[in-house]
Amino acid sequence: MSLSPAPFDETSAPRLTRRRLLAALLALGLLPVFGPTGRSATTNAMPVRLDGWLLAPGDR
Amino acid sequence: MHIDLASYAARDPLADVCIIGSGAAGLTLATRLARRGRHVLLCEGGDQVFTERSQALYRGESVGDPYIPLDAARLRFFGGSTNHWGGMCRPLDAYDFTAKPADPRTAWPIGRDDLAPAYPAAADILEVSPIPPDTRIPGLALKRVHFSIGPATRLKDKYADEVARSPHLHYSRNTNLFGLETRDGRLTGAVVRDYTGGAYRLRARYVVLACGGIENSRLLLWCNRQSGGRVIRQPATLGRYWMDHPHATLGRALVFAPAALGLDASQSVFLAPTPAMLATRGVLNCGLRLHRMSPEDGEALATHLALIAPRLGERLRRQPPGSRCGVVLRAAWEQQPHPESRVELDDDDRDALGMPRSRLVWRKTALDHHTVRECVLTLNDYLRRRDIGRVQLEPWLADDTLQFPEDGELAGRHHMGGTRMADTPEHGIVDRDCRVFGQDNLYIGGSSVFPSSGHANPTLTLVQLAVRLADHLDARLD
Repeated sequence: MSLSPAPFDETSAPRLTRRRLLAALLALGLLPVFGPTGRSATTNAMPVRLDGWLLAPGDR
Repeated sequence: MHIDLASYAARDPLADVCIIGSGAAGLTLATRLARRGRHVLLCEGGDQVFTERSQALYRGESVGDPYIPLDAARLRFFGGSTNHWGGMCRPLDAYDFTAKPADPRTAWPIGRDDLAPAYPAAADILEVSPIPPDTRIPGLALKRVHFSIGPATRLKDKYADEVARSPHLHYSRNTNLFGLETRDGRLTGAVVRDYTGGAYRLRARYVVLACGGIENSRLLLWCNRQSGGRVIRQPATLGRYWMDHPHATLGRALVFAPAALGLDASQSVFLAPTPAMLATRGVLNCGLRLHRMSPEDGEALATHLALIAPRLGERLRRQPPGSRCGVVLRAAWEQQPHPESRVELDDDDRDALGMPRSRLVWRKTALDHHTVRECVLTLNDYLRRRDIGRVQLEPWLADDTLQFPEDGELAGRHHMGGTRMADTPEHGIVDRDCRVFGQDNLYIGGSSVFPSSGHANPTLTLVQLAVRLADHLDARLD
């Protein structure tokens, strides 16, 4: 029996790496993104738009 | 009094203050100092009325972002650009003088409190009506702001008699600055030219350059070159950090509950980011302008929206048409101050007096796009969350790429920067008193000293600065 740890299988047990955590927080809008000058700033997500109209869910 | 330049120059008097330019800043300075008995020499490059030969000196090339022709964006005769301004006034916000989170280069060496004592006089000069305080709109990161609109005071008409009658104010028209003589950090003379080939040397204890937000840069660039760099010892920022207020139509909105934004009682409503929004959204200041459409245009907009969004259209059909309104969304916003936006000398094209014309390199940035986009999306978010309206963006703003309109309004013709105010000569051309670094008796009047612009029209602020400068010079003359 080997005492060394088993090789980590990313496909079966994804680790919560720092990169993944940041990506998840960013996708949820919980993390500030860098503004144009590199300073911390949140950014409004552009909603669904049709012919320039910014529509709400259920409008169509 | 009007003077004959040749005979005045022949007497070689030493004026207390020589002011170059008779626009909003120059006339404010000249009249206030003359009323205190100071010997003022006021030089205007144009005439009492518009003349083509004077206006032609304002022609210049624009090689940056699309801009208004330089000879159409300003006026070169007595009264300057107050002869065509619209009269909109609002003081800068207190935080406009500070280092904003999005770009700390917005900081001024002075604060709003430094200009506050000059407000009553400036408001009287421009006939500014009382401006209501800003008001918060619950749930919206934009606040409602107000302007004094009109009467677009024409300083030419307001001060023509005083200039003609004052025994202390010596007024010379068709008198164009062409050179500055300096020795050991003091101006010793100003060389001026008329249109007939005459050149004269004028002397004054203090000289103020007040020729507008493009011409101040051009004249200083030229005079500095002619002097071998002795006028501006550290010219790294000269002509740079040039700004206007970008203007654009952003789109339209159909507002189902006009009262929520004050659109039930006002034809136009102005919104601007709160200080908290400046920080959280990383934007600069922005005036979002909502203008009510005619009822017919508003209903046409509702019809279009119903075609795009049928389920919303069903609801709109049940709503009385008179209860909603269409608005045109426009914005005039604070341009990011940065050195690449600049005025240069065009050595390939000289004016009738032999001076290189202005070449404008106007450059907007990603932050400028971010600012206006965030402001309109914040309004959209408010309208959608409360289900009280929908926004339709212009294609240039709806697209995800960085772009600005290439025609239409473009800008407010508010020429600012180029000789910015700073704490040190490495970062600007004038100090907190509008005195040129390295020159004891040379000052700049006008919006070219603005380190940043806020979103408010600049005339009130530049007249406040001129009132303050008149007090400063009067004190130094004692």
